[in-house]
Amino acid sequence: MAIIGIDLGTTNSACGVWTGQGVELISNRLGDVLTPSVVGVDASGEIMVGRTARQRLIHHSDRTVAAFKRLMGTDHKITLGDQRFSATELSSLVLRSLKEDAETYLGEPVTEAVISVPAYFNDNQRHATKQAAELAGLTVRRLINEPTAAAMAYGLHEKQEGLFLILDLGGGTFDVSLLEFFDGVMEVHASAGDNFLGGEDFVDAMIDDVLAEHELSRDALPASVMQNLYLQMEGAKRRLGNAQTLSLKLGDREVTHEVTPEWFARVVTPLLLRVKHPIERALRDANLHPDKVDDVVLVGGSTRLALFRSTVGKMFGRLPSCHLDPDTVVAVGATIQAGLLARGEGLDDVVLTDVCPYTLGTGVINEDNPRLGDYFLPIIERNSVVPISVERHLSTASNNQTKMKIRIYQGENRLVEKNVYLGELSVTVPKGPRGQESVIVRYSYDMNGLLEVDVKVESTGKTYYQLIEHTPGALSEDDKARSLQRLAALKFHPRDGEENRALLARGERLYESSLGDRREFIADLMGRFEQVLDRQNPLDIARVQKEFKEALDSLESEDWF
Amino acid sequence: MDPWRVLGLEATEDTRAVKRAYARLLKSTRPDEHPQQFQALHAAYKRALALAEQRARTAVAGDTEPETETGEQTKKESTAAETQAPPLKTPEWSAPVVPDDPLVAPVEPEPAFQDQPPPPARDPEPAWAVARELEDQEPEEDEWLAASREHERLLIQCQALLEREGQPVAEQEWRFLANSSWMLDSTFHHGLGDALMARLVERLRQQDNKPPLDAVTLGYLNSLFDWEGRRGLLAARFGDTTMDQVLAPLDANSSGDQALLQGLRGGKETVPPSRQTTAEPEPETLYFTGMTLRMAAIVIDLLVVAALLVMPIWVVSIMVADFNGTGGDISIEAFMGFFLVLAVPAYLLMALVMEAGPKQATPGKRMLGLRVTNLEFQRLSFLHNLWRVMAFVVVNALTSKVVILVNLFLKGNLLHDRVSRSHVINWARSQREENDGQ
Ligand SMILES: Nc1ncnc2c1ncn2[C@@H]1O[C@H](COP(=O)(O)OP(=O)(O)OP(=O)(O)O)[C@@H](O)[C@H]1O
Ligand SMILES: [Mg+2]
Repeated sequence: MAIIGIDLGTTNSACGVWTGQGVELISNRLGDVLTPSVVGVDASGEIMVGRTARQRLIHHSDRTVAAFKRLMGTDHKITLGDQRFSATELSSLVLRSLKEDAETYLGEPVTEAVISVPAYFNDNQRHATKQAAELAGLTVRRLINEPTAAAMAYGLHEKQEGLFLILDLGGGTFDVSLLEFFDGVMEVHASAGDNFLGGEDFVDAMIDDVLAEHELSRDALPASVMQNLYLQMEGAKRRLGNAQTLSLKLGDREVTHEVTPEWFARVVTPLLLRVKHPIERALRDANLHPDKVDDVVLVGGSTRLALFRSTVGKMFGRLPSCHLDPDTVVAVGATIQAGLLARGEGLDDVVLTDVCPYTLGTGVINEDNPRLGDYFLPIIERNSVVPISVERHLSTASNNQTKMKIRIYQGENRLVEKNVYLGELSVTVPKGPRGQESVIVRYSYDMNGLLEVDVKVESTGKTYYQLIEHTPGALSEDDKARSLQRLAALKFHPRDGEENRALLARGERLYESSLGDRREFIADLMGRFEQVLDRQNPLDIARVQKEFKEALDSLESEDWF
Repeated sequence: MDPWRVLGLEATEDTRAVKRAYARLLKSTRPDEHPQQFQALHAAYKRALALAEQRARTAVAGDTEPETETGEQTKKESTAAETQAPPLKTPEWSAPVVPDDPLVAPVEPEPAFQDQPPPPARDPEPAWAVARELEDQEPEEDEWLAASREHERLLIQCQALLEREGQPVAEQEWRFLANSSWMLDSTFHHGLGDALMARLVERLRQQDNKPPLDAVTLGYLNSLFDWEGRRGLLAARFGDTTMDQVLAPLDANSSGDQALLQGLRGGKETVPPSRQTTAEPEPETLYFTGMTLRMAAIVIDLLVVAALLVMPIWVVSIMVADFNGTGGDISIEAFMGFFLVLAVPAYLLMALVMEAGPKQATPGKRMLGLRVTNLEFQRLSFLHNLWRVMAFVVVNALTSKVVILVNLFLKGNLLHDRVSRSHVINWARSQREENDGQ
């Protein structure tokens, strides 16, 4: 049975399958390779995923949600209509939709997948992703880091040896990986990243600047106005090359706004500066000078920005390369990994070695300056090659201590509290003077980027396995069963007819954002289309569908949508 | 282990050969299938690569010295290998272990701009010289001059903000920094960040170590200059404590949950995460309860019991008096007699029920923040507590005066506690100390 490769993105998702000759990307029910990571609930409570849902983001923003990948691994809940979802559940709905498309394409059930995650996703976020897959009925064979996946796609495509820097700037995350290829080996030297930096932040920065100029706050504007603003700014961002004048509705005011490359550059400079930090860190960690890098590879939709390219160009003194489609290269890489796991034809002599992108450790008492809080004791250093297992001896910190609490953290800060808390483990030790009793703490980090911890008390020989308590965003077995039940009860839009629904949703969006004659014209078009749909004659429908689509195309200002 | 043996190679300076050998072995030692062998192979590969590079260097230098394995590179490699190779033999203190900051060994060039204007001789080549190739051809010298002028201009503005008296400086007033088109240039950017940090350190000294910037401003500037990420480098220059002091507001700053939610599109409302307040965190160090508090708790408990018993005893006394035919008048002696007979058992009964209850304390103990636990610091079972109460009665009733005397020297782990294998923990103090410690 085939293992599919999935890129579960902030903005767009995609999936593919290895066929022996190469990667075959799977088109969804609308015939697109990219499925927008948007989930919506319609008035009758039915779930929709993808482009149809995205059309409804503006005028049904209380029933539609996008960019929820950012909330993975947290306890936040999102309300759509009268239902509440966690980010894990929303992701599982997207995965389920991809899975169905793959099953239709392959003509057989699909139960296993390789899913890509941002390299800089932490342990909680990785667990959440894995659980999302389980809720969608998929077993995760491997979680692969997105830039690593991109690098695999690039490496196999270019068949070139050398040292490459992969920069993946997507909708919500920025990842950096330094990779070397030689003799069928793909070695990741270092990864770094920023989980809160992507195309969506550029749009947010634009909006914040406009609102500040008009002395408005986000809270003062209704959700649909905000969504419309997002849409307009997103479009403006994509058309930056030519100067544009936008007319924006800000509540009861109508203002015009000049979007120029200079304005954009000013607004996003702080974000671009943040792009530089992980790049510098990856090079520093790998102990490499930028000159040693043979090529800089750009991945992710936001790398289309000219400003981003020139910033990177300046850092490396040459223009970066981008021979592959930045939107699908991660899905291609995930699919290659799926092929590798299935020992697919044509992939026998490729081996990938990856690193752990962040430091994992525990808290230890800070006697220099107790007021600051405990220190962070690294156990697995960042950019160690994985899988890896490291042991550390820790001893009691006070007399007659009978309990040792091992708190598990991930991050780079010297103070433990400023790192990401992953969980904890308590062990009982025999009483004795301080420092007498000690435990061996072992951290094991696997190929999926998931951590396991066990602790052995030296004097008693008793071993404790990780029993992480209150990890943010994680589901217990009970929760999972309940969630599965709830999701199973949800009704989905049937696969057929999705094209028509997507068109109607688009027509509706255009209707709502138009006025006067134009509005009537759209209403008229939609009325006629719906009439034909009701008659259920496939030939008629196909014809009218085409006409309707062309009519909408001619009215559309946001052609990328 | 000898890396050459692992790779099946003669010692060589040909890094290409090392890579080939590693690649060949890796095909049969895949990381997901043989994790341990893979770690060993990878460590050997890294080490052999470093050795080969070193050999190549010495060969180029025409050095006839026999290759020693103690070059700087080699040392670095071997420590790296050690940290990866489990297990470590020597037990380590859990007490202060300051992690080696990996940032202390930077590869990047020294910031070109310190506090002084740049020296005319430039080495290494600045990044904007490289950028030239991409943009218009401009004379190098001008480019250099323009950069240092901009650097000076921005620093003067910063200085003015730092020294402004009276009206506090808002975060927005620092935004001019991001507007400079030079900021995207690495060398300029780092030079400015470091120079500004030098000003902040100076300011800190002038203000008796008061952090010169508030959390919001510092957070913004940190997002521009990545001081936190470059903390190791900066600490090497300004000192660890100084950096702690300047960046203290950042450390106190909480995480950006708000930023997290801002990124979300749509969705009616985002219900904030229900803070999981399962069991309160347990202090790491627990303290026994001293004699004074223990006695005080008993006194409070007896008062509680008395208050509860006054009415019933009075009623009983009257009934008894009636029965004896004394005509409804009760003597104070009779009242006290009944009180003693009833109060002590009532107290014991209360202790029995409440100390094994969810609060693990009698009302008196609870008021004083005490908790009764077993040796594992967990709640007592009912039977265990029965044993404890009996131990209390037996030990104290037998030899009360001696017991009190002995107890005075037992540091809160009293005789009957020991006999019944239980503890009375001063929870309030344990928690206080824990919080003070943080
Ligand atoms: N022409 C363009 N100019 C600028 N930005 C663009 C352009 N095309 C797409 N983008 C941006 O690219 C982003 C989406 O990229 P992509 O599909 O790679 O992200 P993703 O994989 O979904 O997210 P992530 O990898 O962060 O989880 C969006 O924010 C979009 O605004
Ligand atoms: Mg992506």
